[in-house]
Amino acid sequence: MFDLILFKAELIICTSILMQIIFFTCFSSSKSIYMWGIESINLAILTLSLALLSIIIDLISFSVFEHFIFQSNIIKNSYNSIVQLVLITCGISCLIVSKKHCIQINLNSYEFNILYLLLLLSLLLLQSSYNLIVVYLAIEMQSFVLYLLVSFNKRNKLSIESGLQYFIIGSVTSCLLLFGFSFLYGFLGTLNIGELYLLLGNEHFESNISISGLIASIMLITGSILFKMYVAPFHSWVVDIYQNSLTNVTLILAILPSLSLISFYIPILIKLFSIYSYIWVPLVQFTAICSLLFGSLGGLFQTKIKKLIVYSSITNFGFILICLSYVDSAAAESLFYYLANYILATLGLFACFLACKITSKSEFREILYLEDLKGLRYTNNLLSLYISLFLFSLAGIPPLAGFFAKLLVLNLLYDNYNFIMLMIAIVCTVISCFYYIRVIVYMYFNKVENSRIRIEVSPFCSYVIFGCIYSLVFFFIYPEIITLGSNILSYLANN
Amino acid sequence: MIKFILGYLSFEVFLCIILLFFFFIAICSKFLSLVLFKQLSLIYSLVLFFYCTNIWLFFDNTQLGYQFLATLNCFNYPFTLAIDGISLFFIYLTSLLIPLCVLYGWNSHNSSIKEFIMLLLSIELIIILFFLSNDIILFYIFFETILIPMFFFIGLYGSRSRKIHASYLLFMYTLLGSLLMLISIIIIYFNVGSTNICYISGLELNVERENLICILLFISFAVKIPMFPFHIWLPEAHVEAPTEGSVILAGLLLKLGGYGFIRVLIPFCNYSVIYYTPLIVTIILIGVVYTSLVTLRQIDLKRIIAYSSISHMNFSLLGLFTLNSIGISGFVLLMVSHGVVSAGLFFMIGFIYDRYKTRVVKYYNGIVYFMPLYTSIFFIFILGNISFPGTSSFIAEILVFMKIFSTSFFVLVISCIGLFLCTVFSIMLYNKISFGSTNKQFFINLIDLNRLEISLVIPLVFFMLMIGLTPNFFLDCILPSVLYV
Repeated sequence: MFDLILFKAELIICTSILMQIIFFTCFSSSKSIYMWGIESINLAILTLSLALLSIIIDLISFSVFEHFIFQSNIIKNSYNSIVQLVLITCGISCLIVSKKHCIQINLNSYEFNILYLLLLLSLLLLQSSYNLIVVYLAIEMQSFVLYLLVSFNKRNKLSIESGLQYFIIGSVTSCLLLFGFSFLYGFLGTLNIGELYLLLGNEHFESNISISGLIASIMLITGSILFKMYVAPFHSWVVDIYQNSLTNVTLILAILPSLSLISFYIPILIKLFSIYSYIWVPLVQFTAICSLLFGSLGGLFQTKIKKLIVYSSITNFGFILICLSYVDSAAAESLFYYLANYILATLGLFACFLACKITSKSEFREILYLEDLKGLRYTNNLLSLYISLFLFSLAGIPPLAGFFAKLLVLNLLYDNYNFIMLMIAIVCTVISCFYYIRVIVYMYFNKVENSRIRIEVSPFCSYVIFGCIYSLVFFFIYPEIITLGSNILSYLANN
Repeated sequence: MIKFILGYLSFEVFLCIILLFFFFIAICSKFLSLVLFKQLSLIYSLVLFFYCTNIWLFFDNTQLGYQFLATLNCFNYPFTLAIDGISLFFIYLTSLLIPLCVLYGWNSHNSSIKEFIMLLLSIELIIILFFLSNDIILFYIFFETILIPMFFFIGLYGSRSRKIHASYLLFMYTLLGSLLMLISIIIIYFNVGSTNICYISGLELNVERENLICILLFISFAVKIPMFPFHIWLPEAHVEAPTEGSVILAGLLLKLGGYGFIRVLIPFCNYSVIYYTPLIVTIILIGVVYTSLVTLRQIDLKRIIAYSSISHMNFSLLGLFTLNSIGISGFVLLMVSHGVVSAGLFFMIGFIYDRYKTRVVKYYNGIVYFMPLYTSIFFIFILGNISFPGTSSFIAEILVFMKIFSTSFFVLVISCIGLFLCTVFSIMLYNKISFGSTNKQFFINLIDLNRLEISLVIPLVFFMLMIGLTPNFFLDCILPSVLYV
């Protein structure tokens, strides 16, 4: 019973999914089916808020805690709960931001929101899993939901194509992940992460097992997780799935999966693989350099907004991977800071872009090209100011959180005497700045006679934008607020 | 009253009030009527000017080092703000120029004048905080933050379509430079353990590391000042910016680089600066002569003044790199006086540009017949530009020359060539615009300066002559701080 009480956030979402499936399949006839789309968005928001509440209750009632439930297949501790809190908050914000967009593009099917809830369920499950099989199942569930979500754009053939592409590549990577897990099981005889900590964390244990097998398994696991984080040498298909899926799905792709994978993988790296850092650190660093270079060079001459955002997120993930490669509690601090900056800025950016629509006599569509942003200043000055602030934060210009995030990463590189990567990071920052500024130039400096942009911001969406911009400023003034999560992490790592 | 304000209002409280008032104006800008908004922002900038005057009055000449200390406990780390004799005059210059810029656009019919004034005020605030900051992290933050308002300033209010190119250049050049500075800040922090300028100055590192820091810092400030290979962005930015933008660029923004040299580079890397001085002086001399030669062939009014300000700033750096108290005071004084003179020149160019809407020199002839007042005031500023005795630049250049004379005769000769060329193009420019035959059809609409415009340049003339005639008033404040550096 205690197990179920600790598991209440996931249970709430699970129950809600089942009830929605039963309700909608029984009671929605083919005529009224379009009515239920909006209702189901509200239901999803309600469910997620309840789950959020239950996690907050956990965090308040146990200040720092660690519990193993379901035969120690699931772990519940403060670190996981905080990550889950952030995940659900991001999830709710994504729904709020994209609600108006869903109505406008007639995405009135309740299946979308059920799939979305399933996605969040799998993300939450990944955070709290303590057995490699559960990890694999959670990642697989997340991937399957994402394949469906990516190909949800029914009016676009390319969407289905990119969904298929994602499916094929994603399932191959999942196989590699499973292969890596099976190596671990073959050599160590257990899949429970706690037991693996005991076996692999012991330095004298090394002599007893085949080191080449361990190397293979660590390479496979790290490689496939990097693959699923959409970083650079594996990025050619990411551009397609970002570009061709619905914009609200792109928002989900940009924020949620990578956040959950990284925050799940940090404790694994710190505790499980820290002795074998000579294996995975070059791998991660190579990926980081690739992400920085490809991300900053690839975005230079893009004319489509979503592609630009893909390359910007690849560049930012390059910085995040730099932190990951030096992983200890100090590096984790700068990683979380950078991640917070990235998520806030990207969420705000998408919220602003989703609010803009192109209207003219012949067409009504969302903005696709940078050209569409021309003269946004004359339509809505405040919105364009906010977009430019988000972009400046991503670029790392001072009065916003992005500056301290970049400063912390550069500090880390200098601290480890990695001057080559330091120079690459600096150069890539300047290059990527160029395309961030190009967006601002389009919005501000190009005059246009009759702007075709119409802006509709719902009150809740404006609260999200407001929250993003003010937390970016707040993080700049009080950077230590972010150390909360990493302090708990280091506390747990020491125990 | 003044005693009351200064006695009971500490420096921190005043800073808070200024910031709150700024945000009040920013928030209320939507609701206030245009006239009220302009008046409010003018009052705001004048209050700042008044307060800076008071700081100057109550500045203690006899005290070495920093005064008016304030501590910000912002990032879980005490950042200090302070004033010394060097930053005092830059702050004073800032608070002097911004009200004039607000006044300059008083009657303009631009649709987005409110945003324009807000940008001006935010630039003022950032620059003042920059000169106040006594910590290299804060120093860096404000050094780079100033990019955002300047970028919008040039991009939004520039006159031609080339403004986008100019704003790109401004942003990219300065960003690359300041990121190099960021690396050196990180190196300093890791080796010294502090970022407070008082603590880090004079500490010794090993030689290679100090040389590395010196090169990085040198490039970042050289972009800002700008020195010879990095100067491309400045003429572009000047030509595309509105008049107020040019005034801010020449009067204030270039000083950020010079201030960085004297505040960070010289005290921290004193050995490697001595090591690199021959190289640096060579670059400076190339800059002085090259930009003066380039100026002779320019036909755009703003470009002429822009190149001349590059050559002046480079010449002032010669004084800095004599590494002597006399030379450095000459450097500081020359920067302040250049701020006044070039601001005045850009205002004067702005006046005729507003009337005739062209900046090409070839269209202008014989303005003296129509605008006698204008030409006489313009002549005073031209005299200031060629450092005529009695004007501010004269004193500063004499100080610099004194020191160069005692160090190297060769440098003296080369820099004299540069200054001679400066005189040539200044007089040529004045001659071309003011005298000669006129085509009456062209200039029939030209009326002389009105009351607003005259009252706008009078303070600048006043300060130019004041520095020139009573230099001790300024040098007494500058010298102790220079000795302290």
